[in-house]
Amino acid sequence: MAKTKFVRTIAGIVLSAAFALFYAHQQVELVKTSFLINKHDREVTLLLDQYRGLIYNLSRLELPGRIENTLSVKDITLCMPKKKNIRQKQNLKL
Amino acid sequence: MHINFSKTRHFSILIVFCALFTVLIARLLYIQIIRSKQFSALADKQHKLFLRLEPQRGSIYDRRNRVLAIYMDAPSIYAVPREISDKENAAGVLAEKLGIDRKQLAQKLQKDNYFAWVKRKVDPETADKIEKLGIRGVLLMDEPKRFYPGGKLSCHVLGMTGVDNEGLEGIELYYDRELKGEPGWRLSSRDAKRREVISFQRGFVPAREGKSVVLTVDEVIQHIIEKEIEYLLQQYKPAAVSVVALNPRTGEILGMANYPWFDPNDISGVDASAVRNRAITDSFEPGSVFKVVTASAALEEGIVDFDSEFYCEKGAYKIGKRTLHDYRPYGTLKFSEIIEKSSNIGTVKVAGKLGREKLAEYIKRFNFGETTGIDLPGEAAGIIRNPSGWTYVDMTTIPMGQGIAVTALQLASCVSVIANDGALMRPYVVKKFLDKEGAAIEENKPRTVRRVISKETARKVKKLLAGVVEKGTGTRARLENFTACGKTGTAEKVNPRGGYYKNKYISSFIGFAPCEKPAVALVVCVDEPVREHFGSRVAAPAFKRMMEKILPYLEIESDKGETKKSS
Repeated sequence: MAKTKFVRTIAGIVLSAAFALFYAHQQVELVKTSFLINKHDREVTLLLDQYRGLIYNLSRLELPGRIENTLSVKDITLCMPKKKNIRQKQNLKL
Repeated sequence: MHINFSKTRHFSILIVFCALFTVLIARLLYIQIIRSKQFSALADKQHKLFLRLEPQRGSIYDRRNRVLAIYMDAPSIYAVPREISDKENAAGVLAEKLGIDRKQLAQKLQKDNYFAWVKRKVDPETADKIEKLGIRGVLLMDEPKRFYPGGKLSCHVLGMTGVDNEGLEGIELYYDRELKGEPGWRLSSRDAKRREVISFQRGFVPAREGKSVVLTVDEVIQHIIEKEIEYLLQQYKPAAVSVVALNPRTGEILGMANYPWFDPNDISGVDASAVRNRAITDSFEPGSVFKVVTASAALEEGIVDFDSEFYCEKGAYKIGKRTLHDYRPYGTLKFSEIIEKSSNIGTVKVAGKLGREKLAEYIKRFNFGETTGIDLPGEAAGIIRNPSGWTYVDMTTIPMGQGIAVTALQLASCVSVIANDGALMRPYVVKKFLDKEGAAIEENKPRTVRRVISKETARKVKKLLAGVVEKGTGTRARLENFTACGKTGTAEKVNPRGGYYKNKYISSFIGFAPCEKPAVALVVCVDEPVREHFGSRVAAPAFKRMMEKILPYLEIESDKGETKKSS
């Protein structure tokens, strides 16, 4: 009788300890996940900023003034095509 | 006497323990009950983290979705004055590297607090230099900053933002609420190292990101206009230039530029006069370009037709004490010739037949004296005096564009009425708003304000203006591959002390092309050009050069035979 009571008590203590440990573990995991989320958030922010930086650089490269200067440095002149060189849509035989 | 030491000792120990536990329990009661509120507040202060979530400011695109304004993170330098040991020395080094006032910085650092801005939104190279200095208590953080890839391109339309990303001018100011969005917040917890523990979040309201804006402005047309302004600066060294290009059918502004201009990426030390969007804020006497209004009114009222003849007094017409002059002495001219040759005397005689009330009515119908309603801040209404106060002198000045003041945008609106078969459209610069994912959520549609003149009259005025370009004062605006309509103007500048300057002029040209299906209406105003001052010599050729680039770019088919010119 006494032995059963002792075993029950020990089992209760072990179970309580296990539950407490599990709870503590979950809390630690929550904190770890939180730090991971923060880290990923910073990475996403950085990547998005890099992306915006690339768009900015691309926009600068595609500026009409810049393209015009490049063409003029390379001595390239763009001309409108003459009418005889234009094929009208209705004349196309598909 | 026998003393039971064992019993006494046990009793003493019990007393000591009881006393200790009493103290402990008392302390616990003190902490948990008496000081509970203060300690809870202190713990909350340490653990709670309130974060204001800044919304992302929306981008600005041109009509073909090319980026005109975007935000990126820029490093800002701040200090924790408490942590800086040698404050004087730190202030000296930082002031030298950052080019800021040493005294002001030293004052900031002398305060015994935790935060002071040193310089906000510096370039990455400067931030690197400061980081390498390794001054304890001087730190960097990223802040969003507005960047304009085109520099001064479209600067007056786009405007600029302040150091806290608030709109200060242009679209940035007019649509500040839409662009900046609404901040959110997050109530979270933090650990001993002050790092956020997002899992223990207690409340969260996400930031509402700013809407992006798609303009009606085209980056290439804007470039063509600004390039032409640069050419005008080289040739005529004017004090100011304004050019407005719009689609007359819809009222969409395709390009709008002014000189002086500025670079919105660097607004430190920018002159306030350079920031002003002169095309909408500055009123001036339009001169002969205003004859379009007089001619339209006279034709609409059926007072004249193309062949109506007026004697132009051989160039000098005395009305009361005033003598009116023409640039050349003309005898009898047909009404169409009066407009083609821009005869002041002829125009005043036509206006005389029209009458004060009718002229005033048409000026109002063309929307002069009222703002156009464009979605840009600071628009001026111009100056039109109450017609009841007009004297006979006014009837000799107003019909030819003197004694009134208009903006370049109003002139663009006016010429668009003719191009658009008599209907006045509200000019606008924002085509649509986009959400974070780039989907259109709101669109600005063309809006007709009113019918100013009938379709038939508009066609007649078109014919008159085509005559101006083909054989009148505007021949230098004649395009090689397209038909064009237009009117030149040369106005003496008003002297604020009274009268007019004898050597200061505003040369202007208003017009559109092609004549039959107008795609672009263009207004060129050159303020105080040097060497030449006639609208026919300064503004008209500028119109031609710009139109010959803009129309092929818009893939408008030539309506004048073989395509010749390169673009």
